[in-house]
Amino acid sequence: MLLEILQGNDSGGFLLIKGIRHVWVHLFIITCALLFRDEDVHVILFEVSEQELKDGLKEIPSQKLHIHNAYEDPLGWTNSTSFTAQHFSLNYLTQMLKLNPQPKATTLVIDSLSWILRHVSTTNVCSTLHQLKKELFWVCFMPICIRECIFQQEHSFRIDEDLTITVLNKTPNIESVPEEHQMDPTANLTFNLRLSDKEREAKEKLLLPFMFSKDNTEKLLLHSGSGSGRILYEPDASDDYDQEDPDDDLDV
Amino acid sequence: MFAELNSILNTFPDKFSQEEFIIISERRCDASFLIHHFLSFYLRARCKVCFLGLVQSFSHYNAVSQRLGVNLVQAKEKGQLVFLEGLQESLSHLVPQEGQAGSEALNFLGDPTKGLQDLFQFVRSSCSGPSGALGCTDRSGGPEEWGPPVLLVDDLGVLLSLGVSVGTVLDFSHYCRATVCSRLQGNVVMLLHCDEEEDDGDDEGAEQLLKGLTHQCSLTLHVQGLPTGYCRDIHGQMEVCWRRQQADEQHTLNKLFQYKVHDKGASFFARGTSSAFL
Repeated sequence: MLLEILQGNDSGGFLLIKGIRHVWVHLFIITCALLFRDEDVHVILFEVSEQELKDGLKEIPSQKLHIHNAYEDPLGWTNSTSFTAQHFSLNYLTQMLKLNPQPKATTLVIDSLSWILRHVSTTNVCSTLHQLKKELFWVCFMPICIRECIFQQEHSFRIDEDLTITVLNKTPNIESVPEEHQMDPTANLTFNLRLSDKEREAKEKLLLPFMFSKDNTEKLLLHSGSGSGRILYEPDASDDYDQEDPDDDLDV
Repeated sequence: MFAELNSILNTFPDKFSQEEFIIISERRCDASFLIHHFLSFYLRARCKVCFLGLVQSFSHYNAVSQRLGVNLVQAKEKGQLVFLEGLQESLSHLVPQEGQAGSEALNFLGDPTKGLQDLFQFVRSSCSGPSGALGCTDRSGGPEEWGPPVLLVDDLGVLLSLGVSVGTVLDFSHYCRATVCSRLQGNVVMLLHCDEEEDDGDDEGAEQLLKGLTHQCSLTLHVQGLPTGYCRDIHGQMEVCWRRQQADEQHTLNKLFQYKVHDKGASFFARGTSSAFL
């Protein structure tokens, strides 16, 4: 899927990137890649300041990139006119993205969805995203994972210094473990441990004295002679076990 | 100010990085010695310091700072230090008396669901206010100019125990970072006490707050007691996690040290190299 996004062959959709906070360089990279797709890119920044983003994107075709600063005042505490969490609604976003006369060629990047989910209910966020997904292609960056993905694909990719992305094979580089040849312990001995076929046969036929064989079993179990199964018990003096005086040392 | 910690963090009073957001987390121990370090460090570096002391009284911090060579009373008079004494101000909110209105910064005590906007406004006005106190002048006769503003909070766990939700505290820390670090090019240091025995469920608690703060910060100091128990010569271990924000250096670097707190400082050493054993 990542390859299709970079080549521009997809028909639109929703891409969610989960990652740890300091890897927000991906935000830069994805934004760059999307700029190469020749689309308008709208970026809503909650977790990163506009200056940090601009520092990372060294050459910006400024007419295609629209930055909505929600970092400085996301809740309206300082009454600045920037984007706030409450602006995340279908009506406002549709109006905001209508700057491009061709609404289909627009991409929205959000850093990050965690911020919005803390202040807007999950159902509203999902319905807004679902409505807009039909018209746009989305990329959202969510550093703290609180939802499970329904469909996952793993990609390995490499980012070069000039910000080009190369998608590597899906499976990581696992070297197949070479089969170890079993060491033959009888290889270098001065005496012979191997058996010839005749010797092996004789060995397997050998009946050990204490092993049960058919004859032995029948002799012992089936032919219990008269009286040979009875137990004759004659207690002697030391078997006189008194429950109240087991050690037999009380002067009772 | 601990010289060994300065060399570990590669910061010195005359040369320190700005726009840093430092989180100190403590677990099974008392990491307030780091707050005292940063307080004396930034006062020595001639920064404008805003201190939200919610855990101890002003005289406590003053007594400890004097051992580290810094006078908080003088700094307050000169206008370099703005101190919010949480314990004293909260009394005015909890036991209101006529003619004595408590600081507006602690308005959330009356209604924790209201949010920490007032506290943030206090921080904003303290950090971006006039640099010098009236009547206080430097050698040339003009008002004293201080360096970039610094916000110190001791500690955020108190806000949680007062009924403020994790999301609200994260909003407050975000605003502090946006204002003090990004706009005013200052630094923010916050202490958070995490209790391992806390079992409030998956949604709330200091652990979740720590996770959220770790994503916002640039440097984390995880301080915890030794897992094997009390030791006279080693008081605990500290893990230093850098999260470099520069675009060309995207990596995290972790270092682990053990420490011992002395009367007038603290020493840091690699694991197993305590002077008691070598």
